[in-house]
Amino acid sequence: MSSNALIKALEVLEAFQKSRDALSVKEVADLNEETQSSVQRSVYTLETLGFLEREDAGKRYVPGRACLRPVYGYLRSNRFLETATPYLIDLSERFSTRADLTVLDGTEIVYLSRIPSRDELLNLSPLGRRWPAIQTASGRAILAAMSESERERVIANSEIQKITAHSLSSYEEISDAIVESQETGYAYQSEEVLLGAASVGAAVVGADGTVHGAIILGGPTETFNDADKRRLFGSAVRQAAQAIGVYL
Amino acid sequence: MDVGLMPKTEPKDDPRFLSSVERGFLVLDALAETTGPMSLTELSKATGLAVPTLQRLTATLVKTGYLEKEPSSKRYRAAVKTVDLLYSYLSRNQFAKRAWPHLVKLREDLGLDVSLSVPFGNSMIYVHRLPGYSGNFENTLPGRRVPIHLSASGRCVLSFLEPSQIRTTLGSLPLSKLTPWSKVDIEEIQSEIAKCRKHGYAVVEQEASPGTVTLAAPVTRASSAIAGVSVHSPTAGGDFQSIAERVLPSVISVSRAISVN
Repeated sequence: MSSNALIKALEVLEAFQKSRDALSVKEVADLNEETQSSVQRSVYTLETLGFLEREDAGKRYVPGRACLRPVYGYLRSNRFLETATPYLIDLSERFSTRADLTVLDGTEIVYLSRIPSRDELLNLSPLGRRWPAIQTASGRAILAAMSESERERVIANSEIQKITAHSLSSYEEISDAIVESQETGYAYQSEEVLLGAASVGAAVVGADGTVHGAIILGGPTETFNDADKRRLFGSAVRQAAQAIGVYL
Repeated sequence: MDVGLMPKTEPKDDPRFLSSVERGFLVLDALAETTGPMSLTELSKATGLAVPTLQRLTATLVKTGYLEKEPSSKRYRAAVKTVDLLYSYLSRNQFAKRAWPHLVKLREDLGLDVSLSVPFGNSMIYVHRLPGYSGNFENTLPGRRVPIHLSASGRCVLSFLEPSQIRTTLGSLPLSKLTPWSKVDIEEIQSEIAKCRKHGYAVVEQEASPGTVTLAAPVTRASSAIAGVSVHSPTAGGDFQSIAERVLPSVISVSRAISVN
């Protein structure tokens, strides 16, 4: 038993996640393979509620400010995020660099927190950005901390994506990177998702063994090219991740 | 009430308006109003909807991935997919994107919490919130709503209305208290808004969040205010007058930089 009108309205909102631009009713209808009149009703309702806004008062729509609301319930009830936030602020201050937090959802990592740094103006992806876990430092740190069977399941469901020329492009390379991060306690990537940007990530594991997600220090590749600095950042995220895990 | 960028509210009795969609979002909103998972009974109390209706709505929201049901307690909580809605707003909204680097710089310059909020119904809602110090966790999150009359940026937005409009707007609001310091007297709030109109910024001390002082300046488009840039400081941080003198020029400069002509 479910509400079809609600499902259709959510699908209309999700259509905007598949497209980079503002969309008209017709474009949403085409994307969702729905009739224009059905989409029109969803759009009317979503606009009235503030989930869609007209771009420049025209006929095309973009997600509206009501979209900011539902996530608040998720974030404020998230003990992992709450426990980690002071550590992220501290890491970011100590190293004058960006500190982020991600969780695994299916085969992707999702950003739940970003403590920005002025030097990181190039890296503008906002909260909620998703990337394939296997292609990222934090994703591989999370995978490295999971049981072998869970890890294999996520990897088997993942598809390798060549996001940049530096993205790891074989399962062998990815599995080597995971093994390496198991040895060092943190994962490292350079320019695999964004040119000019590198990061180290460490998984946060609770006292009961639950893998909650990962914390990251990220910045320009120059910073991380220096092996000493990379190790310094790596051990800092590893230690912070361990300290957070104790409370979860 | 129609303030600046706020979407025009069309009548909900239009035949195109789908009330089950509104009710579904009421469930997610109820979960945003409280910490921790909620049972159907609690959701019913919070939303005014009947339990059978809620069973249908929660089933739909679980199926679509926005809600999770805790197997042990049968309580519901918002799921990680709600973050995708935030992302779709932040990644498409030119204004939110343009504001971000300015806010990052402002936070670094001042070493304090900074935020950007926009009017949303009777509230201001945080678009960006950049924590500068380890304060109250809930204050570090986007999506938090603050009643417009208790919000420094809300008072900035209201200060761009005609005085008669301000009175009508305040008269139509449920002037609720969030803290013992919250101003709920119309005259008092009006005089704060008048100060903001005169000086170009608003200061709110502990009215929305105990222990926090906020200074905000309006972001404008043409002749109306569409948002507010705020700096938040712990009250324990010292004499606010001297903090205000220090932060004001930077806040004003950022609010002007992201204003639209």
